[in-house]
Amino acid sequence: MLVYAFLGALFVAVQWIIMNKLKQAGKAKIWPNSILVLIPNAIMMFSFAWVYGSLVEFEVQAAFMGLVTYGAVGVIFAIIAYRVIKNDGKKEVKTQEAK
Amino acid sequence: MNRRDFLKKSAVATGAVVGGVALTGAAAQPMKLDPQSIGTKVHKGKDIYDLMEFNDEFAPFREHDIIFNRSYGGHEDPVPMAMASWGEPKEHDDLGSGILDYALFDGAGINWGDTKQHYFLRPGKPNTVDGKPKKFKSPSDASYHVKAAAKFYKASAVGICKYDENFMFTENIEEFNELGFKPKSVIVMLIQMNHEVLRLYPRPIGMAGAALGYSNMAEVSSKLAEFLSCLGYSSHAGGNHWGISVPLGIAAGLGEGSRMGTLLHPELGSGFRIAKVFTEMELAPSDPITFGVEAFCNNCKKCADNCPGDAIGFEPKGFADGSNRSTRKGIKKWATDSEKCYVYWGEGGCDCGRCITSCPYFKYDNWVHRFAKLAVVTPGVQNVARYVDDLFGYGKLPTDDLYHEVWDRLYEMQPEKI
Repeated sequence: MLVYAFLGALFVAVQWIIMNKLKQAGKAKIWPNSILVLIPNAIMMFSFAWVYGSLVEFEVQAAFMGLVTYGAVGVIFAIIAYRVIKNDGKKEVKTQEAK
Repeated sequence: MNRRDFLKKSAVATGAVVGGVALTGAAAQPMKLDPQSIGTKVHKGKDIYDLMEFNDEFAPFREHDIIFNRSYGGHEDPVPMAMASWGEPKEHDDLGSGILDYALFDGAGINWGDTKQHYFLRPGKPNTVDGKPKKFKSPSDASYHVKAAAKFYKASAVGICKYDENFMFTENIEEFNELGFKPKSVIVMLIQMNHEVLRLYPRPIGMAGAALGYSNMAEVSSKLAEFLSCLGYSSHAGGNHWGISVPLGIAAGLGEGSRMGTLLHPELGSGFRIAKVFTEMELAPSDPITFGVEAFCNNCKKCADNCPGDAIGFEPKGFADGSNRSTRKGIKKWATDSEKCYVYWGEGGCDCGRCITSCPYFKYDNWVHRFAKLAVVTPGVQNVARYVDDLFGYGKLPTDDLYHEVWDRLYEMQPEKI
């Protein structure tokens, strides 16, 4: 139970830290970007929870398959989120320069 | 820290705790006893005849012809199996087939009962005011209390159907007449077998899971029969005996028939034993359920692939041709070749149970598998469910590491929390 509680806390903490970083970086679209971060964050935590849940069952193959498949989906979404947020920053700079 | 920062940090901390507790709660959710789970359709007001197909060959079935009775000798059409070697430990202590494992099995089955499983015969022992049976407000009210009592006695799931001679062994109908009461209702209970030990099938230690299930079903059904008798209604507990368990389970809304010939429950898979109590009490029957087993079993066939005795077919549902007298004719179903199955049991010297443990429905009841079930009921995903199940390594043969792990888990087993 403690492991799931820890993952839940980690999920919220990661989201909060990234939102703060976005704010500090002066990003305009804090909430849309946060939702973009929320998706890979949730998937990654889900994959960790899956690994733990499967190991508790002594299903080692299921644990690693879960990590590979769900984790891979999480990484893909994380890359997308990173690129979108990064490009969003560039656009903001260009807009400010144009002004 | 100013007030704004303090509020923000408090909100984050609260969110973290709530998130953690939510996840923990999801993981700790206890097993649901009623099969009202994801994807289950309840057929209100229907009965087994609406859900299953019967043809003109449907006829009474004798208990004399079930495969157990053909394998212990004295039958005119015996199954050629080496029952003499069944249940004997190997000379060397192989993991799962040594003296220790057989001792676990023997201990678990101590309350097994005799081969006909008469248990405690209590045909009517009124324990009521003025000798009159307890009156309930309605059959539904009676069903409610009977189901609650069954769960109190530790039935994993319970359903009720009307007494129907079509699903009784023919010899036993006569026996009931001799007992002096005519049952009106049948209470069908599923008694979950120990999941950990069962996973070790086909190693002989797996039999301990089944044996404990038998012992528990004797106890639970006897308690319920006593409960009903004390209410003033003649009742009789039974295990495999008296009635044909799978159709009674279907009629009582506890699941569907599967490719491996067993009753499949949406949450327990087939990892249970079926106990029955026959009573003269008028009870409201449960509604039968379906949860897509026909489509699932048509695609999956994992039990057939894993059956070491080649006793499970790959064909779609059909009507048995009568070549195997232990398979009842006249019902459209997946008929297993019980003769091949028992020959394998005889050769191996123990039960098998690989079909049950390889079935994708045989899973722990936790959030991981509830999530997987959500995926399985999604249209289109069902077709690939079996391949995903294989890919994730479920239903494999037990390893030596698992054997040691199971003993560790038995040692660390916690008392059941209410």
